[in-house]
Amino acid sequence: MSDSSPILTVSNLSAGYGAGRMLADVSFALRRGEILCLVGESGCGKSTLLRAVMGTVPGLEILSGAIELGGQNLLALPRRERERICVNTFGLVSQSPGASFNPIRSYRAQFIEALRSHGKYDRAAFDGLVSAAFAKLGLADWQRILASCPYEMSGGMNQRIALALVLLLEQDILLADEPTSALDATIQLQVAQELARLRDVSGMAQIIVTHNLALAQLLADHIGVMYAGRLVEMGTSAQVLGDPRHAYTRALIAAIPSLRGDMPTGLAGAPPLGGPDACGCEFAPRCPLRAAACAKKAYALIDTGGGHMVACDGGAA
Amino acid sequence: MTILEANHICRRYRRRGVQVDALTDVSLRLEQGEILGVVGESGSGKSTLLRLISGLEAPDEGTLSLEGKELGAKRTKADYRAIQMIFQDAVGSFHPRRKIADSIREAVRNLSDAREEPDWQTLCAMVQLPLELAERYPRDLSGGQCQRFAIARAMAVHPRILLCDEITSALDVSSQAQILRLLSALHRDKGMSVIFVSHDLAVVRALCDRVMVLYGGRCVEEGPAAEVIQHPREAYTKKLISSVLEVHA
Repeated sequence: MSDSSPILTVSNLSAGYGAGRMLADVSFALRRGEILCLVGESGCGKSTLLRAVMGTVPGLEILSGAIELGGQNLLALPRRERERICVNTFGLVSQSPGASFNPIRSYRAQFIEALRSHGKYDRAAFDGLVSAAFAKLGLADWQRILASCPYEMSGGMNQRIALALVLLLEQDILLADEPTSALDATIQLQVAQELARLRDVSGMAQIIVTHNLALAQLLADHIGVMYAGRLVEMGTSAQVLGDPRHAYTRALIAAIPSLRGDMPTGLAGAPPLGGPDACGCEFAPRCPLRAAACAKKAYALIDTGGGHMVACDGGAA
Repeated sequence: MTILEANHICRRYRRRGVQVDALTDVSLRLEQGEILGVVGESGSGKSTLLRLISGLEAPDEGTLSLEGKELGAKRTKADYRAIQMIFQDAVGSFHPRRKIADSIREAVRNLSDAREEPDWQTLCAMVQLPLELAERYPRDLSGGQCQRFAIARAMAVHPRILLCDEITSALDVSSQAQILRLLSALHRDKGMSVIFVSHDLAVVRALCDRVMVLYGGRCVEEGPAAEVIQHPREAYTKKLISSVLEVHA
């Protein structure tokens, strides 16, 4: 599905709130039609990375690095210009299904408002475009939905309607922050299938933040595992989940409950509240493979072959 | 020995003049030291069931009894102590402007006649958190840490039954695994009886002895967790099982 040239390239990105650095040394590329899932525990910097890419979050400062969109470095542009490009390029779906819409205004009014603000509203074509977008995502009854208000809909339905709006706005890249975490298991699967369909019908690239590795396996072409504001493992879905190299990735996989009934293994402790340190492995205090040298080890993502990148393989290589 | 029994309980609400049957004719028996899983989608009546058992609401029909004694509409402090509930939103279940320890102390004193002080050492050891974290505010803790303190708050009054309402749904997989292990240890070491409500069958399978499937306010299937998941009889149970996402190596 994906073309070869990246539409979004993030290089050595460091960002933080005020003096505190929350992200460091993050590099990845995203191609058209590709889904990248960022996984890790709460507080690992996944959402912060999404916000840094989106670039319109007050208080979050980019400290160094580059975000290139179609060959143009967004960070070199004046703020207004950057915001204009970001708003037109990035579609956003958040964790809280209610957060995308005003609960007491009709979807129709909010769809028109969103399209207008993107300069894409055409009154004559509106109904046809909406019905086509809903049909593409398998949503029936578009007229009834447009006439209703978000408070009348379930969380899952709201999330699906938000995806239809993203499709209408014809943005190139969807940034989704835990889009299924607040939903029931059955609805989770439905929204996941719709995200895949959105990619298939529009070629829209997606960065999906999730702590659910099974969801990542279902959707992702590439998976990036984050810990303490850094990518610790990155590769194709098959590489990261089929042959996990980092102890943290293995611990995340072991924590997923299965229908076999085994009690999942919990990783003791919690990720550090502060961001990445200048030197030393942040995961060392929780790592089953830690050694004395870990306290001084400098961070580097090493290619172990075929683009499977890992910050540490516990000396296995 | 049966510790809790619900017989034919019903609960109806009126929403905009329309009657909604949240629970219809649900009966259950919880044995001493058993973990009973209750699964179903949003709106299936899971939370209503827990609210009725905990005494937050009274059933419109049917009876509830604890250790053979019927629980009336007016409960005593001892009844409330015996059945403790833990909620999905761990951070929100604590007062945002009070230290965790103060919230736990208040919960204990509300349910005791004397000015009882919680046994902090035992409680913190039980939920595997350092004592000093209890002196922090909820916002300074992670969701998983807050949920462990919520379990400590429930355990502080020495309950007979824990009611868990989607207590791992808002947590990441790693914190979820820690909470599941903690509940499993309370069950093993202290013989706690637990009703564990969740929409995730894999979580229920890992923890529970028996499972009850609710759909539209009615119990549609019930049995040993392994049996129900391996050989589901109802189409709805099969749908719940097929929606579980697992990692395949």
